Amino acid sequence: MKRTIKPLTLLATILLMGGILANAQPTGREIMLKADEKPDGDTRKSVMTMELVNKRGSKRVRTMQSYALDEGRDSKSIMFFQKPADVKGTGFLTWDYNDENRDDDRWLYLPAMKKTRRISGSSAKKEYFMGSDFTYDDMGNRSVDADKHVFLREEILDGHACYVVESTPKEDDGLYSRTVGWIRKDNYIAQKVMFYDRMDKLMKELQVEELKEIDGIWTATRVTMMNHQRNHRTVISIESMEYDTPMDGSQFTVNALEKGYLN
Amino acid sequence: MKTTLLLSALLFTGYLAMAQSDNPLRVKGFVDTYHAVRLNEPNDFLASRSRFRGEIEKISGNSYFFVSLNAMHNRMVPELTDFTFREAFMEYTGEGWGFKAGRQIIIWGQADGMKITDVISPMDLSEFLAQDYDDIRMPVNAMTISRFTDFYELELLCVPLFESYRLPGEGNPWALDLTGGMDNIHIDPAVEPEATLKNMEYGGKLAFYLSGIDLELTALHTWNKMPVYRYRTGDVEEDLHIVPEHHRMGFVGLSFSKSLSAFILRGESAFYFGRKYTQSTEGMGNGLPESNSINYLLGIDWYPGNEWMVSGQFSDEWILDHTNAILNPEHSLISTFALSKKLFRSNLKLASFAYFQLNEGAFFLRNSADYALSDNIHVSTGVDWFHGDSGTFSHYKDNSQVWVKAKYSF
Repeated sequence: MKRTIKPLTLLATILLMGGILANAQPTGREIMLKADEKPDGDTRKSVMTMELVNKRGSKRVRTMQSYALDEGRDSKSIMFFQKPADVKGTGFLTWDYNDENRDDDRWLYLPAMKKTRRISGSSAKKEYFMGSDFTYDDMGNRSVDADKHVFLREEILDGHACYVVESTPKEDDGLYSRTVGWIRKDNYIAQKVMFYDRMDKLMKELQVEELKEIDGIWTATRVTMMNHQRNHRTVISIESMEYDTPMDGSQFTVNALEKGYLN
Repeated sequence: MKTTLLLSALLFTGYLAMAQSDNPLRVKGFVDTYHAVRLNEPNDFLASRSRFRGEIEKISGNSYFFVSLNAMHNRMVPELTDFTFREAFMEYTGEGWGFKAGRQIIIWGQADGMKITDVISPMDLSEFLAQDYDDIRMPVNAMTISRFTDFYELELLCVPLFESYRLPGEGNPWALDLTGGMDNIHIDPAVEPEATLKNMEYGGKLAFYLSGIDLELTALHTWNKMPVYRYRTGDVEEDLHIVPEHHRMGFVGLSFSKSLSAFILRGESAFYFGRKYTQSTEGMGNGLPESNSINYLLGIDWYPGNEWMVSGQFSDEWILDHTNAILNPEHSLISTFALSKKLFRSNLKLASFAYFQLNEGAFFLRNSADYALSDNIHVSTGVDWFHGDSGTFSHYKDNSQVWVKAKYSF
């Protein structure tokens, strides 16, 4: 008996194979999209401490209270500094746009000057945040499509199965020539990220040291960024985190920034 | 007695702040000490002062209050040794509206270190411009009512009682001798508006915070808080009296701040109605000359990254229908330049700020270095350089100084 393969069956088989292959080896962009879209609540309210440790081991501490709200793929956030004392009350308001061609809107309030000023939304991303090893871009929501992502391999890291993805900026205007991230397969948290400078030398290494499930959402509660070139590290600890507390966009205003609290 | 009472009040509120665990009072402030020496001989001290600032605030639901207390010992200008309330206001924020009442600092506009529409809080010129700009602004008793959303804010304001600039008095090394050392020239007491309802200052601001641009429309019925000077002859024929006077004026203003990649473009303008000016010698014997003026400023801030900041501003006070009876030139051109760089993980900040009086070729340049010794203590030093043969800055060219400052924040 002559066996025939119907065109529809062939198509279905190709699609199925394609699906299997896709599942077996997702593209770098697919992995990073999933990491970007993993549940993180529609709103976030947190208190975060940054410990800056230099090569001699001396420490400086910054504490911030922050609020964030997602509006589709865009987000709004406001951050008030509680420590150190000389910047207490300083606030940042950011309207973060997913569209990579659109600069974010950022305002800075300096309580000593009693003045709010608009600051650059593009170059500020490359600045280090409050003397830490994190740039504003490291801390913000970098658009997935601002980089080209390549899946490299799968690897077990700290006992977790991870995808290893290399991300290269599409525009050659950042601090990094590329980053390599270890994305956990079970929850799409970046367990480790290596940052390479424009000379392609290892610059920084981010490591998640503590992960907790808060309100059903996996949250990195202790993260260390080690700057290998400066022999300096910054440890971020999340002191408290609340997801999906009621907030709306009208609260993220210059008025709230100047008051120092969310109305 | 007054000092003791205020100190007791401060200590008591500090105790309350620690004692209340739920929704406590929040206390912050600083202690600083500042000393400046003239660069030229005799290298005498131009400033030597130490200060305590205590700030107390509390949020209770939608209600908030803030009090700021200042205690200063000023060795060079003893009359500035004082213990006073700086700010004391309350605030209520409802659903999209709020009010704020009490002694407060009010800032309008987008200019840095220049007064185009930012004229509500008077200036403390007791050390001219040779102090931090946040110390130069003086609070006023005011009430504001605001209506706001995420993209606009309407603020209506009234300042019931007039308050003038604080000018350096006799014995202060920053005082200007308007008599030129001549015995027959006398400075009369300032003529200030009476404390009546009709002399109230009032106005409003409508600000828009949009994607990529901020806009601000302002209008104010106010007073010239820096006096203008009228000359009159005295009872004795040879005597000449200089009379500092404050008069009504008003303006409508427009300002913007626009981001363009790594740049922020800023602009501010105001049309002033019926502004009085100091008389020139040709105008003596007549009343104070009055004219309208257009004040405008254009500025650009550049954030090239790596913790550099570069900024420049250009401003013009253009007196319309200018006559020779007015002492000021038709165009008073001033530009500013600022440059700063942070180093050593933001712990060291090097900064320069300069004012240039373009008409006169005079300038004031402040170079400073600030180092964060710890999370609490900053130490800083700098040089203030005044230069010029005419114009305001030329009067202070002998006051070029080197200074040191230490500040503990808590």
